[in-house]
Amino acid sequence: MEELERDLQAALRRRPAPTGFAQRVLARIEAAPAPSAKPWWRSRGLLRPNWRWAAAAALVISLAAGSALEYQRQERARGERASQQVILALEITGSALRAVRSQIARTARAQGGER
Amino acid sequence: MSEPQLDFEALLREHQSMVFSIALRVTGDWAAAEEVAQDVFVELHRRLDGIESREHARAWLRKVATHRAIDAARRSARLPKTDVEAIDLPGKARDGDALLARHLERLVAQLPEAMRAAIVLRYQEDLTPAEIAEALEMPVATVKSNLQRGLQLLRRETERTLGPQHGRT
Repeated sequence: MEELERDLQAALRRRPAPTGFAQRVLARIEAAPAPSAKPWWRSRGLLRPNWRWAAAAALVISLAAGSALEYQRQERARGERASQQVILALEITGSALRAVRSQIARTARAQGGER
Repeated sequence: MSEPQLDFEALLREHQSMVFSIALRVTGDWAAAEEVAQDVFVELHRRLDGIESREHARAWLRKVATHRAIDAARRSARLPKTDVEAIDLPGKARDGDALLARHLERLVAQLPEAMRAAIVLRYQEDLTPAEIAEALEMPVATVKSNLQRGLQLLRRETERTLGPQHGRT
């Protein structure tokens, strides 16, 4: 270490704080309005980084699971609607076929009577 | 591992001299230094829940005191007053040493803020350049450069005003 550096160390020794400094700090703190009571989730340290990450992860997982369930529900509803439409179409087709068949039978009977 | 609960008053008693001295050397003004030092401890009291250990408290106080003092020095936009002259030096110091110490203290108070803060943390607080870099939130290379340039300026000024024997290397 240079001599100048040693001189600097000697010159820059810590000074004692002014007389009554600590009392003045404590008086300022005493005079300051009391902070509002912390909510339970703050007082238990739930805003600490670990908890924040855990809460964020839980939120992401919940959102993903909720989205998947909603997607499944919508798919199921779509499937049910489609199967109902198929059944309706089959019923319409069946009744149309029955009508055609009875028309053919009536026509055949009429032609047989004429002969 | 974090300590269960830190005693604010004990921290105040233990570190008041460090915080006040940093503020005094960086602002160069007694009243501003007291104000800065009080603000720092009031802030510590508000944030005590986030302080994990006594070592953390010391590093936090050093860092916040330095930054607040630099801000105060910049806000005041004045050359630091050498209130430091009014402070009695340790009684055991010989006259020559006392004169040199007072002169050096005055010269340090006239350095640019970042350089002054680096010099104060290096020679008052005995921090390494890496620790200073962390406290000042600047690269270690910048801190080393500030220290080197600061020493050069101090040596040159000391030699100019007190003679070459005082700018010793």
